[in-house]
Amino acid sequence: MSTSTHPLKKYTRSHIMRTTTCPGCGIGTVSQAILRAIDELELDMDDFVFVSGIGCSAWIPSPFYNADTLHTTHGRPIAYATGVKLGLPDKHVMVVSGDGDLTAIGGNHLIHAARRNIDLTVVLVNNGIYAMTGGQTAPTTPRGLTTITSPHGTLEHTFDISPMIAAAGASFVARWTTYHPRQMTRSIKKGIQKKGFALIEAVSQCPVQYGRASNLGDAVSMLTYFKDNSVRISKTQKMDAAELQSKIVVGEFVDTEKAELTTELAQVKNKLRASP
Amino acid sequence: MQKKSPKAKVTIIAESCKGMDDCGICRFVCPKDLFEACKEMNATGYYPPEIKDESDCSGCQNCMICCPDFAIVAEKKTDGAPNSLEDEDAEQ
Repeated sequence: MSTSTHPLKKYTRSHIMRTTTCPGCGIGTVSQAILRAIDELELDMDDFVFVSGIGCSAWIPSPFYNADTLHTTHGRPIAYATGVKLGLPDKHVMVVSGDGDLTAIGGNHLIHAARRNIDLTVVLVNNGIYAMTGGQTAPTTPRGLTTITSPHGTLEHTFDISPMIAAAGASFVARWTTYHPRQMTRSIKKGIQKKGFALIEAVSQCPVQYGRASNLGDAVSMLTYFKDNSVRISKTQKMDAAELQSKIVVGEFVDTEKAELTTELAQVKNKLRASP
Repeated sequence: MQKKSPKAKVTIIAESCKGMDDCGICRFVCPKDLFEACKEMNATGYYPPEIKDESDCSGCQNCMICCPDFAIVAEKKTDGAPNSLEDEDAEQ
């Protein structure tokens, strides 16, 4: 047997032997994309603070990553991260959590952090369902999907996260699926380097809860679904709303430079200190 | 016929794997279809993959990048072939 170790193993806590996710879950792919982005940027894990909430994807950094991790209350990681960033503006603060945590319970924190344009990198793992608690309808669940809390199909419309955060004023917004891990890594790199609010929405497969609810089944058929149904944002201009309804629009939605909160705050502080 | 030399050395970390039956992402993303289920169960009760014929490996590293359980290491030997997963804007 070979004794090869994984090249990203150096970023994880050595006593944790395996990931906490179900077999075939896409969270591990996203976890690798984050670590690979940090590896390619040659950044030090000690310069990062990872903040996560509650849910399957909140287990990505905590306790797996060998860095400062903060596992917070449900829906509130962005509120905690805002405090961390304002207190320690030199740190890279990254929020890693799921759609139920960040857009349902903590929806307003996400919108207002984007509006403030505070320098956070948010990796939002969107699996379209509340997976950890048994497969209840989430705001991101596609309309009509039968879940354990919507036995006749969910009647509500679906939350389209990336365009909403783009509209709220974020500096960088990208969406990829777990079928696009290389592109996701590239966008996470851009998000880390961006001075401002960066959201990377990672559409991920949940073969256990979502797979059962949608009859898509296992991880491979969900990845095939992502492959067949994702459309580049550059190609959507020629498509009408009906065509786009069942598609996953992937790509970079926003990439712009604008005034950032911690920088502005430091300037105000300096100005006030200088004045008698 | 002369055997091709593999473009990467692929190592499977069996104890981290969650099985070909339940996951199987490595088999799905491999453009050369090199992964098949191993007959030996690991300590957690899953059947990890094994490589059929390493000499066919194109060195794309899809298996390592996509494996959700950090269970595959693909060390490139020479410059690998372009990957088969969609990567249209790789040159950006």
